[in-house]
Parts: sequence; structure tokens; C-alpha cells
Amino acid sequence: MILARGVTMLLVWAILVMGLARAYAGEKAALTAGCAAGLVAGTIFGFFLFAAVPGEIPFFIIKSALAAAFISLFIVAAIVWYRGTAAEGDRPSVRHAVVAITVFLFAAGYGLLLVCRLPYGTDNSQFMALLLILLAMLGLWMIVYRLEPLLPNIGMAKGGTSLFAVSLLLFIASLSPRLDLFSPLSMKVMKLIHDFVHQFFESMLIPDHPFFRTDIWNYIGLLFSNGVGFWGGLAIWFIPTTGVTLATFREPLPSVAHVRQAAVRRKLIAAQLRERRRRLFFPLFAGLVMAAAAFNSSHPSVEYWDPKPLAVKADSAGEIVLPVKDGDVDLKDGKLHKYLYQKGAQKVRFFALYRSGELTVVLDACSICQPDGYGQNEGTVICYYCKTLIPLETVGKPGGCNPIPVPFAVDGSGVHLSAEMLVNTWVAQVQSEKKLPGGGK
Amino acid sequence: MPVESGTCIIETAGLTKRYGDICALAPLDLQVSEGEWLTVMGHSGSGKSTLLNLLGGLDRPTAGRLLVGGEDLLAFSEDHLARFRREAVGIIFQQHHLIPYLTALENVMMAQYFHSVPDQAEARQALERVGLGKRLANRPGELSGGEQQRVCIARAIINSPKLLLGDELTGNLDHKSTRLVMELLKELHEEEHFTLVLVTHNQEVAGWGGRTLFMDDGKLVKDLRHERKGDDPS
Repeated sequence: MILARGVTMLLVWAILVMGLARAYAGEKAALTAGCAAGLVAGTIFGFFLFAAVPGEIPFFIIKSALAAAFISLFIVAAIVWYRGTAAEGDRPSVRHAVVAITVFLFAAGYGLLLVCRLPYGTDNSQFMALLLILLAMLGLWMIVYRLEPLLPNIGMAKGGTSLFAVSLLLFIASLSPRLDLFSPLSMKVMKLIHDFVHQFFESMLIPDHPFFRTDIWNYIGLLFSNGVGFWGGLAIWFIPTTGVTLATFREPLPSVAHVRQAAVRRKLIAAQLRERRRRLFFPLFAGLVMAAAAFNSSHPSVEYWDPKPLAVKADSAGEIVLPVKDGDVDLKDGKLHKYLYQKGAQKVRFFALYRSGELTVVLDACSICQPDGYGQNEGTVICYYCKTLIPLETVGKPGGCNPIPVPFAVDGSGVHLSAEMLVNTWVAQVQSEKKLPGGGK
Repeated sequence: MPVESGTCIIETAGLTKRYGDICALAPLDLQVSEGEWLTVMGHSGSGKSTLLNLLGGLDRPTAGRLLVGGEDLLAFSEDHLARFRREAVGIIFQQHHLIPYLTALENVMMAQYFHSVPDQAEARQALERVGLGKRLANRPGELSGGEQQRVCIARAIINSPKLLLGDELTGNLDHKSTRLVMELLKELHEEEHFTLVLVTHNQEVAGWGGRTLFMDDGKLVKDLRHERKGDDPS
């Protein structure tokens, strides 16, 4: 696993550096030095970060850095858009130091993600990873200097290259649910729209307006559908890529009016158009990578433990009793155990989980998202709707995207819950049920 | 015969083309100066068109050396040769080879497209220059033979080639149309200063040039320099 992931990432890295060296042939030395130093620095920093800081904090730090990089793309897009209309003389030339620093930051980010992708804490994993990186460094120099001249000419465009570099980091991050940015972005968009519509209607007292007929409410209801977060998030996700691509498209061509012979003039224009098309390579490729990152985020490859809910019934006293151990079922096995209680048309899903030495019972839903439920994986449960990872230790605590806790009692006969309380809590706290999973995965 | 550098656009040494046992072009040594008007005459099968195809990069020789504009055509890859044909050579054929479903203007623009980028205004200007300003929107089938040949000339010169090749370009035309086409070529030759190599059976057409090569059975039999009778060859 460590070899497969590490080698794959380093191979991608080598190809990437080669492409960058081709695109910035004049800056090859600064570029390769920045790449090598950044990768080593990022990897070492990653190891220290995970060794020194426990829990989710390193992931939070890396995710924040990725978010900052993503936001910086908007600035890049704005600059490229401005430069597209600026006169040729206003354009700053590439400087060695700028290239080296930019590439260093990118490479450090790549190194950090490389550490995140490697299984941490297993025997010799750190040593193996460092060995791989050192070997890759040697190979990198050889590859760049040997193969780079053989590559076709790639158009140099600083904006497009930055875009591509960050999109690649976002793609790698999307492979790990802890670092994925797209799902939280979709979630924030959805929340923003919900809050805005809610506040707007509240402040304008629109619900009382006599002209608001049912069909108009149906249209407004679309703003609360599942797709709003996804499509809204996707729109923001692609703004920088689209901006840079369009800016490159509308870049004015240098004037050739001074050339007297028409055929030569046309040849110059054709060369300029070719050059501009080449410069589109990086932003367009970045768009593809961003799309792949969004796809990864929406279709995570991680398999979650998500058993089919067991139907339970209340006894005559209105109590549901879950035996702690009943045949193959053992509530204390550390796995998530899902149940389904139905009263009339009202269905309530909940699960029991043994973590940190004690049992907890929670609804299979939170009070923020649509009730798509939770799955379990290595020390966390995940909300299927917003892809938020929740450490097992915090399951049973109220708030945020945590599953809603319900009161229960444990005695020798099992776990006791009030059926009425379950139904009331679900109805009162869970968002409207538009989508209920049919069963376990 | 040594040729001064910069003045010689075509230089061949032992240029040969064989098709199996048949020798289409016997070893040929030839120099053509920049801006020269050369006519190649001979019977059918004498090797005229073979020579023209080799000069235009349409075919590759079996042996020998061929320099056009100082560049060795034998060393070119297929891609490079195609680029050479697009940029350095204009060819006018007897059969016109115009695209029947495109207008005269579009046919000329097609040559621009393969060279670099199409420019409608420039293509229109080229057709006006050959006297077809009012036939821009006509398709080849709606034009006379002479007019079609003039579209071909506009198409051949639109990319400002340094070498213009004509293979029996007046073979299908009557005396009046031939004279019109030749007058046009003379005018363009004087303005654009390209090197013109025409293959023809027609003694009258040969009179418009300053030098005539006579070929027979793939061999050069006579290289004749003469006065240009451009004003009135007949």
C-alpha cells in the first residue's frame, strides 16, 4: 500500500515537474530547485506535524492551507483577467525568485499531502517514505534534464500553471475524506442559501403575501432541494478555472499591422493563435482535475460500515429494548448497529455504538442535513449528506453535524429507549425527509 | 556551372526519378535563378511533369540532389515537405482541381487556411486582381475554363510563394483565354518576383518566358535562353 501510493504520487510528481520545466524552459534551474526543496520540506514538516500534534488538528491545518490555496485562485483568476486586457508592456516578466518561491510552496503542499496519503504509524512507514522521496529526488533531476527537451512545446501561462498546481493538490486532497474541500463547500453554499432565503422571507414577511400561490412556493422549494448545495458548490468550484480560461481566450493578439506582406502577416497571426491555444492547456487540464476532485468527493472510494437497519418494535409500555448481546449481534463490538422503528407512516432510524468504553444511542440523522444517515470507518463516522467526518469519541454529543443523541438506559436486559421519545425527537429535530436510504450498503 | 549563393532558387545535381525499370527522369543538373521564368517543353512522357512534381515536393526523387531556396528537399520529413508545399510553392494544374461545392472566394480561402489563417478581405483582393471581382460567390461549375484557371492562379499566389509551378495550365483553354491567362501571369510575375516554372506543349506559351528547356525521353536535350516576347508573343 505504502509503495503503491507513494510511488504513484512521486511518479505523478516527476511528470508534473517535467511538464513545468518544459513550460518554463528558461526557469528550469529555479523550478527544479524549488520543486525538490519544497517536496522535502513539505514531507518533513508533515511527519513532524503528525508526530507532534495529535488527533484531527494536523488535518485541520492542512485543510485550511488548501482552502487558502483555493481562495488564492480567485485572485489569480482576477489578475489573469486584468492582464488579458493590459497592454503588452504592462505584463511583468517571470522572475527566478518568484518561480522558485511559488514552486516551493506548491511542492511543500504536495509533500504534505504525500504524508497524508501514506498510512501513518505503521512500522518503518516513515523510513520507507523518506527513502522513496530521496530516490525520487535523484530520479526527478535525471528525468527533468533528460526527457524535458523531448516534450512538445507547452504554452507558458503563469495563471494557468498556478491553477493547475492548486487543482492537483485539491484532487489529491479529495482522495482523503478528511481533507476533501468540495463537500464542505457544497454544504456551506446550501446553508448560505437556506439561511438567506429564510432570513429574507422572515424580514419581508413574504409568507403572508396573498400573491404567493402554491406553484410559486414549489419553485422556492427548489432552493431547499438536495441539488442546491451540489450545483452551487460546483459553480464556485469552477469559477477560477472558467475565469482563467475565458481570460486566455479573450487575450488580444499582438499587432502585426507593421508587416507588409499579407501571407507573412497571416503566418504570424496563426503562430500567435497557436501559442494562445497552447496556453489554454493548463487551465483546461486544471478544469478536468477539478471535475475529477468534485467527482471523488461525491463518490468517495472509501467503503463505510453501514449495516441494514434492524426493524424493532415497542412493547406494550411503549419501550424499545435492544439486547446488548443477542446471537451474532454484540452492541459492544465497536461497530455501528442500526435500527428502524416505525409508528404508522413515521419511520425513525437510530444506531447504537460502543466507543471510548461506553455505549451510546443516537438518531441516524443530524439536525442540519437531510437524513441520509451515517457510515463508519476507521475511528470516525461520516455524514453521507455533507461528508463531514465525526470522530467516534464525539458521537453522542449534541450539536453541529453530530448524530442527534437520544436518552436511553442500560441494564442487564439491554438498552431501553422510549418509542414516543424517539418519534418526537425525530419529528422535532430532523429536517424534512425527502430521501431515505432503502437499506444498508 | 557554379551558381552564386542567393541568386539560385533551384539547384539539382544528378536528379533522377525511376519507376521500376522505367527512367522517367535521367540524371539532371539544373540551376534556376530567383525570379526567372522557365518553360519546360517536350512530348508526352518526356519527363516534364515528373520534373515539376519533384520541384514542387509532390514526389521524391530516386537519386540525386535537389535544393529549393537553399533547402535540401530530400532531407525533409513528410510533415516538413507538406509545410514546404503550403508555404513556398504555388501550383497551377491543367485540371484546376478546384473544390466544386465551394465558391471561388472559398476556394482561395482554403489555401490560406492550410497555410495559416483565412482572411476573406485578402482573398477577395486576390480574385479582384485576377479580374474575378464579380465572380466571388460563383462555384467552379458556374465559371468558364479561363475563369477557373484564374481562380487557380489567385489560389496559387495567395500565400506569396517564392516558386510558382504550372503544369499545362493553358492546355484546356482557347487562344483568347490562353492569352488572357498569360498576360495575367506576366503582370503578377513582374509585381511579385516569384520564380515561374511552366510545363507546356504550346510553343506560344513558351514564348512568354526567358528560358526554355527541351526534354525528350526523360533527358534534357536543349537549354535555350531567349528574349521574352511578353508584349506580343504571336
